[in-house]
Amino acid sequence: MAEGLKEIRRRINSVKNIRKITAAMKMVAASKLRRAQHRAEAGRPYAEAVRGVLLRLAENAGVEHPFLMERPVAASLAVMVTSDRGLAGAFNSNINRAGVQLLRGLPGPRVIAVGRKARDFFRRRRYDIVAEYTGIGDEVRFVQAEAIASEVTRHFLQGGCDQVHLVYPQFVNAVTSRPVSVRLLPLAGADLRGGAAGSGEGEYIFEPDAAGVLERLLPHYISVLIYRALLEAKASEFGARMAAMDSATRNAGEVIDRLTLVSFRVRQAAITKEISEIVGGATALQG
Amino acid sequence: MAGVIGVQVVTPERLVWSGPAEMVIARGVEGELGVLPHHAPLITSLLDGAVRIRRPGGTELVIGTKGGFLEVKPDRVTVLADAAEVPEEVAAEFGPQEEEA
Repeated sequence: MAEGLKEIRRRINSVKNIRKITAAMKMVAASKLRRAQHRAEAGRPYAEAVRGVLLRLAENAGVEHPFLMERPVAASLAVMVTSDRGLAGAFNSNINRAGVQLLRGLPGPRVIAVGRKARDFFRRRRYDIVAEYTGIGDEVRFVQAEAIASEVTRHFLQGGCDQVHLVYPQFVNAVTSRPVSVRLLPLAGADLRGGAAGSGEGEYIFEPDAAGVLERLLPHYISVLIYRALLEAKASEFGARMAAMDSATRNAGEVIDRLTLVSFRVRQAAITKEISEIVGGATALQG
Repeated sequence: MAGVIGVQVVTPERLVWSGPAEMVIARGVEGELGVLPHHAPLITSLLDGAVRIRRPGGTELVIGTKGGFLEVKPDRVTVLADAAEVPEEVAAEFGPQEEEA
């Protein structure tokens, strides 16, 4: 009986230690989330400006570029943006599941895996992984997005795929993210032409010329889209981890409460037993 | 003078500088160009180099830029650089460190 009590106390202590760790991870995730949000915020003016220039190009000059040309789809590529680490609830499996669903409907599916979780997932399922990017780190750099973008565009231009989709978690708020997929290539023409907000700024002058600017701008725009996705994924990851660690911490608290109650009961039982033994012994002596 | 023009210098990672200016001088692929308020709308690719911003009051700010584009609207100039550095920030990073080791 006393052995049982010791065992329970040992378990209480171990759960307490776990709770310390999950509580610390939660706080770390919260502060990283704040930083990630800040970075996402900081990148917005540029993304808007690039998009603005692109829209102006579309309005003022006919846009024609391989990136905008639809072609028969024999092979498709999905860029899957996940995290390297787990302990973030259903965060990664949600994205991977969205990816599988998307790829199921596409001919010739291939994958570029960003983050260890996507790589492992799609490798296990024997998908054709054409490239993988792990070790992005907590602070996404634009050059990382550029590296992915150049791989993607190289593939697209060499005919390795006819369509590229980007699957990533869209950051809704600290505890919610939603997996979304957007078509990266060919760039949806409607995206550019439809958005003709008619800024009414009049004719633009392009130097060297519209085609020249477009030539430089489009690859850049792909990088920007990927960069935004990486930033949102980071913020979402930290948010998901914060939520997961918060509930883990709360669960640990519940386990501790329950075990503590059990330990009291066991202790009380032991005492009662000892008393009854003593009383029994005394009665026997008197007899 | 015909007033001022709003200037914004942005890179993918951040907003580097924004404020009013009397004139902006940048190195476009077709040559150096100076932009005054009410300039015709223009979009140009930029060469590596410096964007010079003449601020109201006569001081000039030089921002080092790499690649990118310049968009001009009558009331607004946006420099979209791949990377950009403001002198004070460079000085803070590489200059003599005064406080603590």
